[in-house]
Amino acid sequence: MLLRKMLRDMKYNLRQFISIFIMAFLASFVFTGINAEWYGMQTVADKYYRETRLSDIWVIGSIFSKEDAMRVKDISGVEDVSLRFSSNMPLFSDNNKELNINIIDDNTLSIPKVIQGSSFDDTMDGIWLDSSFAKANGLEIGDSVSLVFSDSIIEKNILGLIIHPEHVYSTNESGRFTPDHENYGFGFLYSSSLPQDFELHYNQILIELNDGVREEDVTKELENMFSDRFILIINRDAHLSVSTFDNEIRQNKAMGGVFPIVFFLIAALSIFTTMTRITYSQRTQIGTLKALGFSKKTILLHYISYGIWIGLIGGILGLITGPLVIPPILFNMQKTLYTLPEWSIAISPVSFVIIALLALSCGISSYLACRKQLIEVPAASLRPRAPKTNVHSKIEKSRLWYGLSFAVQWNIRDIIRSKIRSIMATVGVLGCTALLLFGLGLGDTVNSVSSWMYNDLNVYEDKINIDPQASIEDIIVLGSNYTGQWIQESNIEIRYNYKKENGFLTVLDDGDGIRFEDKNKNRINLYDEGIGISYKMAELLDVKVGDIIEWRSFGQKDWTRSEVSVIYRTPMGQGLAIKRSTYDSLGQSFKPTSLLTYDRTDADSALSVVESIQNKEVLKSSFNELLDSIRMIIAILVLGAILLGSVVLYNLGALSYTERIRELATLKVLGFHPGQIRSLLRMQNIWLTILGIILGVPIGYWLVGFMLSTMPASIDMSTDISKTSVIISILGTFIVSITVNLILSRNIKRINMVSALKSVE
Amino acid sequence: MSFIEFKHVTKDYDMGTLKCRAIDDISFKIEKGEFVIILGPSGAGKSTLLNLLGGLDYVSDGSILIDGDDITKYDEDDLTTYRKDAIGFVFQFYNLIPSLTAYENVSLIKAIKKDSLDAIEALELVGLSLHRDKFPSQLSGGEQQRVSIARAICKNPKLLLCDEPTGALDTETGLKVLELLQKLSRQKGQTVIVVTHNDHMACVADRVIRMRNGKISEIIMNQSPLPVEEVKW
Ligand SMILES: Nc1ncnc2c1ncn2[C@@H]1O[C@H](COP(=O)(O)OP(=O)(O)O)[C@@H](O)[C@H]1O
Ligand SMILES: [Mg+2]
Repeated sequence: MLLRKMLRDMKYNLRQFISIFIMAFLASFVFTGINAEWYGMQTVADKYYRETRLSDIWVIGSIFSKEDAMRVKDISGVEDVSLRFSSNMPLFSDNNKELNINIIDDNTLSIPKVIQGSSFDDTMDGIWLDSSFAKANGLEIGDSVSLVFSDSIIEKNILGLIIHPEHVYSTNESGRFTPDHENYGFGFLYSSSLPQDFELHYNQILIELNDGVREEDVTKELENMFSDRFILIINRDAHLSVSTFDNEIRQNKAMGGVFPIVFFLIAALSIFTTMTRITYSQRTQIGTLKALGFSKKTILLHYISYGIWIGLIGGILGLITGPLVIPPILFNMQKTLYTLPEWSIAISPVSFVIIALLALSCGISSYLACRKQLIEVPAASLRPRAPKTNVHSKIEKSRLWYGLSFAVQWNIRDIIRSKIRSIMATVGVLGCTALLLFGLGLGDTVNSVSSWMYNDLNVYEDKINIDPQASIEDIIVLGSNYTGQWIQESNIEIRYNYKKENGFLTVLDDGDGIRFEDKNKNRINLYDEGIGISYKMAELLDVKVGDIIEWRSFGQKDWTRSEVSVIYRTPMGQGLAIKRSTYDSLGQSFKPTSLLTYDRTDADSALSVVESIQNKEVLKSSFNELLDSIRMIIAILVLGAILLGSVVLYNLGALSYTERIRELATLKVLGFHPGQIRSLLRMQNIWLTILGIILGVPIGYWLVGFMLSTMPASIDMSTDISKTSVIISILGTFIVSITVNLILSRNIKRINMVSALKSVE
Repeated sequence: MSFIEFKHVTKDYDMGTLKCRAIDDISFKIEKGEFVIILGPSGAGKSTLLNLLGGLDYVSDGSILIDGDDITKYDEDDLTTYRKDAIGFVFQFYNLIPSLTAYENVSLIKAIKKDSLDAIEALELVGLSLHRDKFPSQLSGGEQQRVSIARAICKNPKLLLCDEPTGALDTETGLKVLELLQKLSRQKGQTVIVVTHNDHMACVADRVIRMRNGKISEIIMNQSPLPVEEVKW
């Protein structure tokens, strides 16, 4: 019976309950939707990594023997090892296309997954090729592929098409952010299928760890074991593919979290206001139920169930629809970046917990709202309510009060009297502004990174990457044909005070292809003395100007000491930058890896000295593609903000309208025109909207900052919100607020003075 | 031992600075199956007395014995059980749940008391079985009050307490309601206590308690109370 009472009560307060329902639904819809997306990706990837036994640690060096591998396997905590030779080889037919070729024996770790063709079998002679590369280049099983390695050509037929766990995010690290499957891929072949004269030396040891083993312990052992040569030890966190994918998931997770929290809060708050009003008006009913012998617990449960049902039904509906609607939209974008065996959603236990929490917090809000009505003894609940003792607030007593117009006085009094409602309205407006600004500001920030990186810092036009095998003469010829800046880029290790990080080293010859900016984005130059360190790297290592750091590049055994002379900012690729002259004076020899030209070049990429040519515009658009998934989420956020604002304000407007109907009727009886009453209501609306906006703007800024803090350490972004976005957020909020107010104030004409004043309980 | 016994019961209301004594050292007894009428001017303390008896409020002093049990010793849970099992309440303004139909209002009791009377039976008893699916707002005052009585008696209470059940009704309808209450008392041996300020009604009760200023001014026992239908002027 009480259930029926609840359903009918909900029917009578349909507007309020629908809006609470919508908010509960949206919170759950967005949360579970985004959650299903990233959790699905994570689940698929985890399974993929497990099935293919993705390596935990990669030891990269120049030559490893089988004995080395045996020694590594003996390290305690190491479950299994595999040896392989891995190298990028251009295609004979087109040296712009490159394959990462892995030569294996009876390897057990990081084994590709065959999606078409024959499975791995070391008696077969041929190549297993990256299926994305094959697709982009129209290659099929049985076709032959010719690779250039050193001076020889390896020609193999395609045996199968594969995907590989180390190539979920597959780029060749040359500045492109989106995979270019047409020009870069990977392949696997067995050493037994190599020509007799091929001199195979393993250059990678893959290591699988036992469960629960500390990576650092094994890493330390490895460092000791190979202390006589240079090796690079990479764990999964440092692996480009694994870590990029992880970061993607982390960002999705963070975004999917921020938004529902706001909705959560609002849903809970509005259920609180609504339930306060309902229980307040049902005081006599509560008293009656008590007099009939219903226990306090039963009555309390009855009212709590209003909130719980709404939270539960909204939550479950969101859980059903969110994961069906949101992930496909996002997957579409993710597919351009990542290669996974399948794209499926997964609903994490957290989703269920969140829905339970949603229902619980709605229930708790109901509880708090009706608790007050329940403390009274039944006899008191049954008596007419004692009139609210109208304590005059401080302002009302001050002299200033009498100088105020009636409208101002009325509104101040009304706000003070219905504090919860006013707070709610402010929070709703605040949420709307904050989310709008968050969405737009994140868009700005992301766009500004792209323009910062490609318009302010990298001012060159083309980047001509030089073939590592090219001779000095060829390079000189290239230099005589094009003007530009020579740079050398390499991977290095940097250490300071027992902290060690991997990073990039850029050595710059004279020229103006790359610029530098200080912390406040003012243009600066590198000094002739010392070395420059990027801001994020300096933060990671806790380095200041004047400190002495040590670094060494790939292939070197000895550390070089340099004094930090400047700290510069760069959005991507944190590390060190040094002038060529300084670099040379340290006893290093400058070997350019790229030429940065100031104009569009017509360099022939077929030249043997040119490995590839990257145009800035192409890089820029590939960078922008990377940010598409962020943009999509932003669109969802903006939509959500508008919905949130409208629903909350409509709910509150409707609520205050019913609460004040007698008062408004009285004003009408006294001869106020509907227009006057409307402007009275609008005044309060505008006050609260302004207050909400004032509070919402900084929170929007903070949310963007929070979002950026979830970015990987290698990316340096700072909040950069344009004035336009701020103005749009403010105007947008105003428009929502005023539109809702207009819709509601239409009701004023319809106030029936007689019945409104008569209906005393 | 009497069925109901008030012993020096006092009830004060705390009104901030001043105390208001609504019931002032009252003692009386009521026997099982009696039809009792409490009379007195407004503000005499009648409702307060009924509320104390019904376990809706706490006494300030004294004790109230029901069947030998002192209900003033009860804590909140005991009082809830007491209200649930022993008391049927009928209010001046009926206090039906507006969102439930007549039938649903009565069968609400089923939710707390398993051995309650069938709701249809109770509605038949008050002559309202035809209106069972109407909402309170679709019923006349007299009909609403009868629903409220049906709701009270379907519990099979030890004690039926009616606070000015006729107060909001016209004389004719009021008499019908009173007639119903008297019938219940006579036919089923139900103990019924009715508060009213209609002096004419004194003659229909077994026992009449008159109150004034929180005190009992007199208690009259009628040896041969009249049936209500004969009172009509
Ligand atoms: N909750 C209360 N708070 C303060 N005073 C009360 C309260 N309830 C009743 N009173 C006072 O107690 C006295 C008796 O009230 P009541 O029992 O309702 O009288 P009756 O029902 O006989 O008209 C009155 O003076 C009334 O003002
Ligand atoms: Mg009274």
